Amino acid sequence: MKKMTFKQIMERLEEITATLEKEDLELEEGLRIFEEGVGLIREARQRLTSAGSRVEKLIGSLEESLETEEFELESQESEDDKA
Amino acid sequence: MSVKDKDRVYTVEEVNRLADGLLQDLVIWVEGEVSNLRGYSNYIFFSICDEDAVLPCVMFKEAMKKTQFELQDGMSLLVRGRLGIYIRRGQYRLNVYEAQEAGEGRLRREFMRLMRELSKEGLFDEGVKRKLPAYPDRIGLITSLEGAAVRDVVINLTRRFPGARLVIRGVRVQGDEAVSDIIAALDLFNRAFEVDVLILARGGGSLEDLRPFNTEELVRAIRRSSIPVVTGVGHEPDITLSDLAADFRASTPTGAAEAATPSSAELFSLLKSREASLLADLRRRLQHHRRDLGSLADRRAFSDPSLVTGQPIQRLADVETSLESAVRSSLWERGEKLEAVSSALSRFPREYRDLPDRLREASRQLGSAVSAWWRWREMEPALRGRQMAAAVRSILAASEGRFELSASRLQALSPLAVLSRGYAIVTREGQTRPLVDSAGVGKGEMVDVKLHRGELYCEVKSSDDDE
Repeated sequence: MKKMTFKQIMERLEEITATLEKEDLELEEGLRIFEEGVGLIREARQRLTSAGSRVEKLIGSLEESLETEEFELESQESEDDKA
Repeated sequence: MSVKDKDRVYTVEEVNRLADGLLQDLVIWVEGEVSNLRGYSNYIFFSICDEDAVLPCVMFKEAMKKTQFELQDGMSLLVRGRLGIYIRRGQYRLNVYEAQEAGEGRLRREFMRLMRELSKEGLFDEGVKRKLPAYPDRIGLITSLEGAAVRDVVINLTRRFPGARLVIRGVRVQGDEAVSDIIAALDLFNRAFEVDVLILARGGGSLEDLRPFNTEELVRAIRRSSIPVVTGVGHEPDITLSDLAADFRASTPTGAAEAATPSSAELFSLLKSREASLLADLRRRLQHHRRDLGSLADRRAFSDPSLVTGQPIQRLADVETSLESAVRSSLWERGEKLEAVSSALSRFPREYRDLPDRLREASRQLGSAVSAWWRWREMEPALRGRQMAAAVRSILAASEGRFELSASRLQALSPLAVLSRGYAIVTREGQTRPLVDSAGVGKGEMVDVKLHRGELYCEVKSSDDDE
């Protein structure tokens, strides 16, 4: 299965909560999606704590020549701080 | 009038006209600040000045009509006019043909004009603004690769929402090339590099610095983007037309990063409350089931199972009754057969005579198996339907087996079988009753001797009785 995006995780969690709030649900099914929900919460937390987001710059101008390369900040002062 | 005669004495007016004539071809542009403004019905007087000098100006009614704005002291002005002399007073001045606001003032006026125009078109309406994604997976950033803006966005974005991927497109944000650079970047993301949200950022600056962000072309490019655009240009109170066109306007690059992403701190608390509500739901659900179970257990259906199973049990009973009678009649039939066999056996030697008892014992066991089945029927109502047929079949098979065994024993004990071991049955000629005593069989009588295979027809030559 393809890795879920954060959005997909949050949407699925929403669905699970809504489903669990419905009355007509088999106990087994309830337990199954409860477990799924707990797993998704764990996954979301992990992503938020995992260090290292990807920061890249997009180079090239034509579709065929487009590529990304890693972008690193030069150390300098923030203008927001000075303002 | 020319200056040919060095000795000629000119009138004052002549001198002034001479000077005026010398200046009259000088039609020039000049920029400066308005001061000492005095208005009259057909003309106005004012001065254009900068740090170093002052230039008197006059503007006549025709030129005033062409000017879209009202002159004010302190206003930065760009004027075109002809230099000349006011003959009567011998005063040097610029006769202004046209005037434009210069510098910041002009830019601000242009800004207001464009804003009104584009606003009328609906480009800044709340209704056309797209919603920003709650959890962007990929974020595009259009800004200068140098400077504080890119740094502010990168730092804040990665701190707030580490899960996202940030892709930066470097552009010029100032000067004549900036507009086409930024528009190309917007179009590039839309056309060839899909992201969930775009951030357009730039540090603060003067109105002149921000001019690219106040162009109609950029406003239209932002509205044309199918990806939502967040702007973070300059610092308050700067606002650009791009800000007005954007789907969300933040006042700084940092603000734009915050607007484009959820805060992980808030997400943690959201996840926590989700988790709590999942647990609460589950607990409530379990309680619900437990309560249901409790109330169900009290219902008559469970204290009196027949209430639930009444109909099937009735059907089962019907089937059992017919099965029972089938078994009984089958037993009865077999019993009759046994009776017949045992009465036939009674004619045979004594050691064979307990056979009927054995057969009765087998029959009794068959009967007890049937009653065991009846007991079982009382015990396991739920399983009976499925198991009954099998049980009945096995009981029948067992009784069948016993019957077969008895039959084969009977077969072994049959007098005819004894013949195969060399015995013979002797009867008077034409009779079936075996002879068991030589007495009564006289000399010369004919007897039939039945052997294992075949018969002999014999004449009695003598017997014990004869001697």
